[in-house]
Amino acid sequence: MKRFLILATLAAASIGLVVLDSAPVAAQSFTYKPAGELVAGSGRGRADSTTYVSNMRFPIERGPAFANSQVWGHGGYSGPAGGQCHSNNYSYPWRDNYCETRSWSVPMCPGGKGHQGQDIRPSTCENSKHNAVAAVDGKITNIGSYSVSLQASDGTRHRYLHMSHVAVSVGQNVKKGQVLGRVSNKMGGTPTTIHLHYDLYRNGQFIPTYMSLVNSYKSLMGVNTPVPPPPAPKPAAGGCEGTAASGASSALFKDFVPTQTGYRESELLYRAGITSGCKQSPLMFCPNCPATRRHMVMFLVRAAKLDVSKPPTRATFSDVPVGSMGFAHVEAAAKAGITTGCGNGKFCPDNTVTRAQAASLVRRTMKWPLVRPAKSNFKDVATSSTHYADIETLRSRCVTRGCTSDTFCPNAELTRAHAAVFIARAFNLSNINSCAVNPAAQTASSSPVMAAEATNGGMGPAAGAEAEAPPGSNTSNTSNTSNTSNNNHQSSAGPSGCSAAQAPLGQGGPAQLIALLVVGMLGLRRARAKR
Amino acid sequence: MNHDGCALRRTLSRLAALSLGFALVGSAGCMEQKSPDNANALHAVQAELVSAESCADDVRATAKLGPILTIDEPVEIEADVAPTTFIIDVDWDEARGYGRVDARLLPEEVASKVEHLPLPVLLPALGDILERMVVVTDEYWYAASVAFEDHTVLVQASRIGFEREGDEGREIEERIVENDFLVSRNSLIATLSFPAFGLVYTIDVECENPDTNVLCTEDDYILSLANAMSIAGGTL
Repeated sequence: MKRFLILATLAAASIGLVVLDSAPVAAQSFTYKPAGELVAGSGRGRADSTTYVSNMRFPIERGPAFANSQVWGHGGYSGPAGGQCHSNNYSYPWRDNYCETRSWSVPMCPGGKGHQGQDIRPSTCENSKHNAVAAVDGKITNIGSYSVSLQASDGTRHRYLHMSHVAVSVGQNVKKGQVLGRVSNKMGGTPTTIHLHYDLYRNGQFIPTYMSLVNSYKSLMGVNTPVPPPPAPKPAAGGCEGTAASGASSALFKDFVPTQTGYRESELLYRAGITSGCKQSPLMFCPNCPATRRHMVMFLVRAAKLDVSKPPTRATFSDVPVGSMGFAHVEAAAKAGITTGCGNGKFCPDNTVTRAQAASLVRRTMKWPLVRPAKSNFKDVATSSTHYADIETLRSRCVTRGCTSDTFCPNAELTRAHAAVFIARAFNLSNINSCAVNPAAQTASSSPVMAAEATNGGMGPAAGAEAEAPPGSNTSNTSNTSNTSNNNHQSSAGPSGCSAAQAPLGQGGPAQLIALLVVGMLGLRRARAKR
Repeated sequence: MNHDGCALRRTLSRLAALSLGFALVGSAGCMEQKSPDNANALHAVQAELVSAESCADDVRATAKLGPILTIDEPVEIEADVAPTTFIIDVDWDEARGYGRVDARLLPEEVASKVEHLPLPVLLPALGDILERMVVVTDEYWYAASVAFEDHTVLVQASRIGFEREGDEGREIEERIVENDFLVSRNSLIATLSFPAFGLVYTIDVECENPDTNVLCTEDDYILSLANAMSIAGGTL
């Protein structure tokens, strides 16, 4: 029966090899839909603009070629009327069909299922006419009944499906552009449409192919529209990035002068695996960049060694979806009661953390009982403040000394350097917090706090009561008015303000003054832009 | 898991395709105006591929292996900078404790190719597989291909990982870590992946008749290959 079925199917399918329409395409401008934008109703795509394989050769020898859906295109099971050779199938724009609805497990797709590669029609609707070529230099690792696998030296497998007239053999070294076979409709017993299915696989994952194909196609066709320049590397936090600092050449972090506030603490965090820095090669910490809520929670969860190995399959917060950066950490934090989000079911992961919010996050992580003195120790923190007790608790534990001797600057953004200070002291890494063992003693006066400062990494006089002063804060005990002014600057300071403020904090001098000026100006620009 | 249910659906699907195919033979001229190919047979296959009611691999795998971690939200990644490579650390202690291929089963040509690779080389310790095996190697990866009359088997692993610079510094490209065995069928080719020693090992089985050959339509064969995987080489 099986044989009969197969023969009958093949006989019927053979009719399909008649070519009706070669669908010639005039030299038209190449256009393509963005990655992840699938045909409506064909599933959820992965909006991933990464060119996973750069400088590859387009896998069909000659253009034009048309990347689009076989199932949702003309002639497909879910497509509009007409045969597979319909001219619409042979026209731009290209459509991504990675993650298009399938019953197959593809973990990188939203929902975990979908089409694992990209379907491409050659220039005409002719079976076994158009050559498929090696996208990269590599070795042929397998030839199946309708597949050819080519593995690059980096271990990425480039797989070509529905191939006929295979021109290579297993073990053969091939060069980029070398003919591997022809594009056909082969798929074992039952033919498919005439197309090349091309997929990329490495380390257990079918990775998105679309943008690699787009760029290689542009190169093949000599498309005039320039490939959009890759955006600048995504800044570390709050639009801020690290810049190598003079005086830090021998430091662990090349943007962090060892005498700067928080250097020792950040190094402790690094050694403890709580942070891996904001940049590699060279290693940087972005000390003056504001910490985001996401990063602060990641730091705290790692410091507290909360279990992140089994994250839930559904997200608690709509803006921290499953699989997004820090997802497991944010979920662990929510589960532990460290965060309840920013309201409306969201976490606001990319918002910067204020010093007051950070105090609450740290206090909840430590599960310290709240300290609520009748009178605030910081004149800018009202006893009615949501964060009042958290801030006082941290003060009582010598985790904070405020931004000046009598203010906390609750609304100022917390820098990564100061986040490190908070965390290192809270967790008493390497016994950095000398009053950690007897916190009750710290509630009465500030003198033990000062004693703890003296042991803080040998930072010297500059590291006194101002050790957590955010960049832009006045480093001397000035009036409340001037502090408020500086804090306003700080909370609106823009991303690039951070890179400008590389001078060691707390040392004053012209460099810092210039840096502060730039911070202020850019902050004002950002504030205007926001409006 | 319900193999019988899956088989029944496939048979019904193919019968539908067959009857439509006969109808097409009788009216080929008409059909060509609409479609140049056997659209109905094609549609039957496509329907099975996209249908939520088809024998979805995750349903089968979950029944056999437990839940699979999946992403259930839209994914948006804006960085378009190509990831760079790094060499993945191997848990050599774990590898040393793993079962080894009986040296008598391992053809000399295969043994010599895999002996000094800088990663644990796992191959199915099955005589008929090993004796036909063609091994292709590179500095940090290997792939072993076996061609039978009605199917091919490909085993591969690599020590090369991919990373990029992200918000928090180094971000390693996603790779499977959650499941012992992740079985899927992509374009009717069965694929099984599993993590071991810090790496990911993959087996593919491709059939000449992928929609009828149980070596491809069912999990048993590919699982048996995975269960037979043993250390055949590597600088242990």
